[in-house]
Amino acid sequence: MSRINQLSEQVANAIAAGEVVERPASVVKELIENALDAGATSISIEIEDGGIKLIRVTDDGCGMDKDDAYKAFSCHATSKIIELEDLEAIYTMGFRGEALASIAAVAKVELLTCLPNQNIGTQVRIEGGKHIFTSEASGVRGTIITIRDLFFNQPARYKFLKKDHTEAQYITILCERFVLIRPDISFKLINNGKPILISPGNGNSKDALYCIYGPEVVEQTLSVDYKQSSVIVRGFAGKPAIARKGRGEQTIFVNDRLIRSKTISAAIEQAYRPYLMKGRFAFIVLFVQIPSALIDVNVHPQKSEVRFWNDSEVFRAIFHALQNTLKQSDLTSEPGHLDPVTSATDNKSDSDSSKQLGSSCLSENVMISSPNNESDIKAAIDNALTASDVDPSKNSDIGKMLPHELLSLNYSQGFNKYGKANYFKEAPLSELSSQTPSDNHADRQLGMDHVSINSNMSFSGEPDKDKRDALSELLQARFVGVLFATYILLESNSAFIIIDQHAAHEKIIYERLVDRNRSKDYLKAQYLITPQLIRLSRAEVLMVQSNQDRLNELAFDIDLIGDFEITVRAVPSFASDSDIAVLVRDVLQSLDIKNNHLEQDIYHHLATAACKAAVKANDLLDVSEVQGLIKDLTILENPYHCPHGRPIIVRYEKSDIEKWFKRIV
Amino acid sequence: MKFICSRDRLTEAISIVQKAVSTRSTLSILDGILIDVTDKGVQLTGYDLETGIEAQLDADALESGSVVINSKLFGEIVRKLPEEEVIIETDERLLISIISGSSVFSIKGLSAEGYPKIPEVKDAEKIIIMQGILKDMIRQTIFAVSTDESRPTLNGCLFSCDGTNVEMVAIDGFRLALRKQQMGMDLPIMKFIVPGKALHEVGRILGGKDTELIVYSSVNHILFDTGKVRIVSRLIQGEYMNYKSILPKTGETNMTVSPGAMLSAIERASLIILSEDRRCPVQLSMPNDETLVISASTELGTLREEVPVRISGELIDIDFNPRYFIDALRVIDDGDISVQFNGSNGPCIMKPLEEEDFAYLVLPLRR
Repeated sequence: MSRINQLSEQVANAIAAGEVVERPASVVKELIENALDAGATSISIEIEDGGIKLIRVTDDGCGMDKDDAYKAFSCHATSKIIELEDLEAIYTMGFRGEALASIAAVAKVELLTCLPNQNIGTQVRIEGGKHIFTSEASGVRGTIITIRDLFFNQPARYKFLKKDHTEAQYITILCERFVLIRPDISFKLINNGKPILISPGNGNSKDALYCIYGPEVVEQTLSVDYKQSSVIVRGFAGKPAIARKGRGEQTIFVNDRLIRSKTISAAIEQAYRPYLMKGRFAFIVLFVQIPSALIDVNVHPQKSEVRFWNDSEVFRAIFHALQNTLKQSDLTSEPGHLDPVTSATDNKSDSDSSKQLGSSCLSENVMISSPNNESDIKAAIDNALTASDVDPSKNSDIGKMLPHELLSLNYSQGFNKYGKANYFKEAPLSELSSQTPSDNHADRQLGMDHVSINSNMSFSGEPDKDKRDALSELLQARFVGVLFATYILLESNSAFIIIDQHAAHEKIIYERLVDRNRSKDYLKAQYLITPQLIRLSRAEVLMVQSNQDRLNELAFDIDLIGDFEITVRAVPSFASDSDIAVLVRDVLQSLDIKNNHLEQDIYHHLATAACKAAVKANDLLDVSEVQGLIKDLTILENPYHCPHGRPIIVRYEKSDIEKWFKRIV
Repeated sequence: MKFICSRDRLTEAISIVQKAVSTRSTLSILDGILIDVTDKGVQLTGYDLETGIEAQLDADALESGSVVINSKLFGEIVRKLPEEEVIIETDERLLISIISGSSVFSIKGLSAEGYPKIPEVKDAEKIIIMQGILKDMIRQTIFAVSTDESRPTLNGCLFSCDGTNVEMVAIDGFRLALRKQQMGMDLPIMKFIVPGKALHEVGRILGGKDTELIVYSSVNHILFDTGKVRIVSRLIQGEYMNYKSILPKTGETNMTVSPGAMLSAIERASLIILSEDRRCPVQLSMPNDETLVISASTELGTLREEVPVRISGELIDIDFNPRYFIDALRVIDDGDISVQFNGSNGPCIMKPLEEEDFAYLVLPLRR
């Protein structure tokens, strides 16, 4: 008896479904992609019970005629590819021709479609892969496809579905991503009869971002627009303040396809490295456009992975896009924002209410802690520092002239009572340099003056206006005193600014060291007494061959001997203590991931050196030292974060402070 | 076991053998010092399975026996004892009493049976050498011993004898130090690699110029015997780098200079080269054939200094790691030396003007 059976089409489709249809969200994904490919401008997605009971996708696309409507359900049926050559240039979303057949194999599907300017449409019904009927139906332009009872004939897979609301969440996330890619299409997601996501479809990406993440996040993101040779990078880069604990909020589209890519993640990580603490990940929504001939998307049935033809070019494009954006922006930390992670999903809160929420949260911190003991105050400030946020919109307020007695009075009394803060009486500008005796309240004052820090410095380079404004505010701010011998307090016309002296100094030294190391003299090649032969794999030798120039720049002198051997004539002088073979392999490995490990190691050493050399918390700084520090700080590329990613500058709006004291409500 | 000795002598002997006691061994007995009392005298031993040191102690041996005592504890106790006279004895339970004045320590000891035997250097060739000379030879080469463990043969000095001369060579991949000494006639031919660590210890214990030292060597071990102290070390096996082919016979540039003047100029230059920043070079250039300009430039500032020299051949302008020059020039004792350069990539070699007593070779930095 023959043991090998030819599977029926129905069984084959049910097996194929396992790859394409994993959960309701994957059904929704396939259907939305189909709708988009049909040229829809408005797509509505209805789900019930997490999509398990019902998924209905309605579009106003081109529809199908009767023959096509039926053919659509057969295997490898697609309108998108006709010949193999078409695979070379895939612009449409789906192309494998598996989706509908697979879905129909595991659910009860009803398709209602109508060609434009025709009155009679087609209705097709298929259940578990079995064709039930095809008939004419009345119709409006577009397609309505209804999927009921997903996996009704696949108990094994049904069992592995998550709870309804979890599945609904997957679908929501999916729809959000479509909203981002296609701001020109109006999406509507209805869960159990309640609309939960509606996008305007007006083609504005920022509006799309807004309807998903809410005002908080939109305020905290910077627009990215960058082109490097054939790679175009657009999208939104979150400021460091809304960094997350995981990569979950990094949404990357390559040619409008949501993908995961190690190369891109690494580029993002490296661009943000100077701004973020370890273990924090930037909020990112990026749209990368690469000529479709240079990527291979046909790697995985879910198309969630792509291969780039040239990894390093993609890496560089992303890295520079983000680095440029970050460098040009004001990233001053501002305390008191709600943690954006929690606020992000709250789509309904409008801009004002969330700001208020933010400040009231802060004021509570301070109110609770200020009356009794210093450690509480310190804790409150620490809290405020760690929960700190950035807000670009507020910099436009710099022009507002507001009185500042409130701050001075309350803080001088509040803190001096406990003998820790140094508050100094305001001195007229004419007495800038003279030492004015400090306020009576300051019974343990430590001999500092209240001076205004003026500067006639000019900025090197052309920072963005935001940043320039913020920095000139910093330079013109009056020095109030030092809190806990650690935090420099400054007062500008409209804000109260706190600078962590250690972090600031550390950053200044770090940048100096980095600068020095960037200069050409830094990497010197030390010749070896005899060239050292190193055996490598063929791939490694090829790496050497294709990176000769780069290796030369990194102060190596390497000759190729054969397929498996190289000789090293010179190595970087600072690395002369290390095992040369190990060093070469390490460097090759880091070249491989387009991410210079060697340089990073160096920067790590520099950060440590800077940390050691910098003034510490509790070192008392003289007024002139403070002035110097702030001057030096303002010319840095990134004065907002120390090399370890902690904030350096925290800023309270005067109006926020007034709110604490209920002067304004 | 029982003996009486002087506290200071005991402290000295302990500190010598301690150099060979491993500090963090998984075998606790190796953390100890072996005390051996025989009718010949008292001997202390430290051994980390690579280097072993035995020191004879001037003491009144009253009762034979042996015991192992924790090295660190023993050293600290003896150093702090109140009186000069120390009595040490053990009972049958290996409890060690250390008695000085009115202070009586009782310390648990370990049985000497578990202590590893230092290998005997049998059927050995031997060379008798003056302690002062060997001490100098070690001092003048050991700085160039490599610490890169991926090339084990370079972790030691090559010690060789061709019948009349004894030669020591150290190479660390970027520089070479060679020292040669004429010793006499009909010496045994030998060639072996001595671990840098053992040589370092030998260098420390070597004393008077006029006292002799006997060097014994077998296939696997070397023994330095001063009579009072014996240091045994495993030899590094393997083929040493063929250094003779590296040493250029002639140089494209020949410079005669006082090593002292050159050393102090380079030391001054390195003042502005931050110590943690080994990357900054010192620049040697020759504007004419009577001047060597030593200069350095870092973000701290610059130094330019002229050293009078006599030059023949090409004038050069090359960067070097100042450390390598300083290490070599510091150990050159004699008068003027010859420094040969071989272009901007080739080796630079420092030699005596006439003899071939020493040679220091350093490689430049690429511009």
